Amino acid sequence: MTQAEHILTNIDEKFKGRRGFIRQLGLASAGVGAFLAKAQAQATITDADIVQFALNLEYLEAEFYTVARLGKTIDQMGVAITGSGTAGATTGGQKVTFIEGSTLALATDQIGADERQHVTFLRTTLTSLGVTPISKPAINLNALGTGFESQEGYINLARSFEDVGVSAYAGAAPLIKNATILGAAARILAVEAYHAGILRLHAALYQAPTKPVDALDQAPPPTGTRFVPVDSNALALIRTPGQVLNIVYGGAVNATSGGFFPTGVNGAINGSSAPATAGS
Amino acid sequence: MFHIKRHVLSALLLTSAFAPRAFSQTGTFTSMSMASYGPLVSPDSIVAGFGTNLGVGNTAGSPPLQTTLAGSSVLIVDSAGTKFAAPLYLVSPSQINYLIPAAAAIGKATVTVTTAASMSTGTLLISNIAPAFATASADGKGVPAAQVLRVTGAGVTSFQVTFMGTTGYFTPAPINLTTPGDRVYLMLYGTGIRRHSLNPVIATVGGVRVPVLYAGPQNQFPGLDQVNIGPLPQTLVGKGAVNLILTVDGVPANTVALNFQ
Repeated sequence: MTQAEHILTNIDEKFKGRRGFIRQLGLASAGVGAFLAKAQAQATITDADIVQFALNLEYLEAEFYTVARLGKTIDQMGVAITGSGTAGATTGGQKVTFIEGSTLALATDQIGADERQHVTFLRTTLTSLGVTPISKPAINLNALGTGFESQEGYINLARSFEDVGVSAYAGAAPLIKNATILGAAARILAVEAYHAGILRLHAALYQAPTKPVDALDQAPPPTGTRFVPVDSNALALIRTPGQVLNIVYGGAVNATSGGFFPTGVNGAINGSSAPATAGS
Repeated sequence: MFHIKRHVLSALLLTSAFAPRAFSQTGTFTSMSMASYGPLVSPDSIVAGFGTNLGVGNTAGSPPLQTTLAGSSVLIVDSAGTKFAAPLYLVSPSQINYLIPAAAAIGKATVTVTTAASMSTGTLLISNIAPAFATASADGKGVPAAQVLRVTGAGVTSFQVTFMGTTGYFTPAPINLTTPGDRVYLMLYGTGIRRHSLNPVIATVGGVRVPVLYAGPQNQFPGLDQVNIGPLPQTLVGKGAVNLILTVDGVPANTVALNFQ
């Protein structure tokens, strides 16, 4: 733990545990106030915050598949993208040349439709909680310089998104308090895992090289050996939100923007951490 | 495995009488599967590239293929940056048929055609599997440039081609399945098939699953693949025009047409 994190944690504990601490501080300066606000935000991550975090990732996935398959953005497909936070355009990417009728092309049609539906579903969920959904932030689909140049490049990036998505939902699940939201998240996780399985198998069939996103990642054949990425108990791999943001921010540590999100994600969960490590 | 006769192969590989295509931009080179005219190709497959000023006259190569033909050469730079001089089947002013080396990396490659007087460039999408059947019309559509092998009950074999007519007007030749005791097989030719996994190659004719006996290199001509299917089931008798669909590792080849009497 860094000194700053230690201080933040200490203040957070005092903020939550001893009302008198605020008086001790005297609520003196605006700087302290902002500091406390940050501490409070970190201490009171809500289910809505987690859903908003997931919505950022679903925006990214939905944009990726829709551009790769249809050459359009999700708002051009009628998916709502407005809301709170900072809205931004999607840049980069292009329609990928598929062999029409192939299982890859057909599966991509379904995966793209699923991801667009996930966006809509999460937005509806947030609205039902009385929360305004975040708007789609700026997205740079060319962050890694791959994903659209060939079927194999597409498989590489799609596989990464799906595996990271599975680990993100698995990592966030223990933080969700509302059983209904937890149930929905479990079902989305399952769908993301279906997607990942399809793409991992196609990586093997197409002999498409895949690039691991961090030390935790288990690339499918031909790059790796695992068709199914699991831990020692054959459970799904998990990543914390910070580790997920590390990936989508292009490997940046303690960052709030970068990579696929050049101006950052929207919502309370927006800071990256160090990358996940092997076996973590 | 059965082998196709050489004169049939010549018709498949060495002709430039493909369906006419317009390429207005000088200096560009557009490559596609020699068999299907589809946009994706695979390592160790045959590619047809189109452009202008690609060569002088029509010059055909034969195995062992050379990498320079009538003064024209094709350089492939694959997605890994490795350079390959492509073996050439045919050079003409508007078309070059060439072989993608087996070691070419999967992904987007660049292709450069160099002649004494000009240079043309283009891109190439190389995938592990890009199954494609050659057709009689040489544009990937219609009736396959294939053979029917008939084996009588007495073990006598005979061949016929699957098409009839003339250039521009090929139609499926009727295949007779009504003779008792005969076993009838199809021998199809194409490219982009040989790198399939150990998963079964699947063929359906008129919606009926037909056993795939062989799907791999034809072994006489580099890059040429052969698919043997059969015996064709009696349920196809009297079906008339039907489609043959081959699926390799989930990737379909161009659909081709047959006719059963």
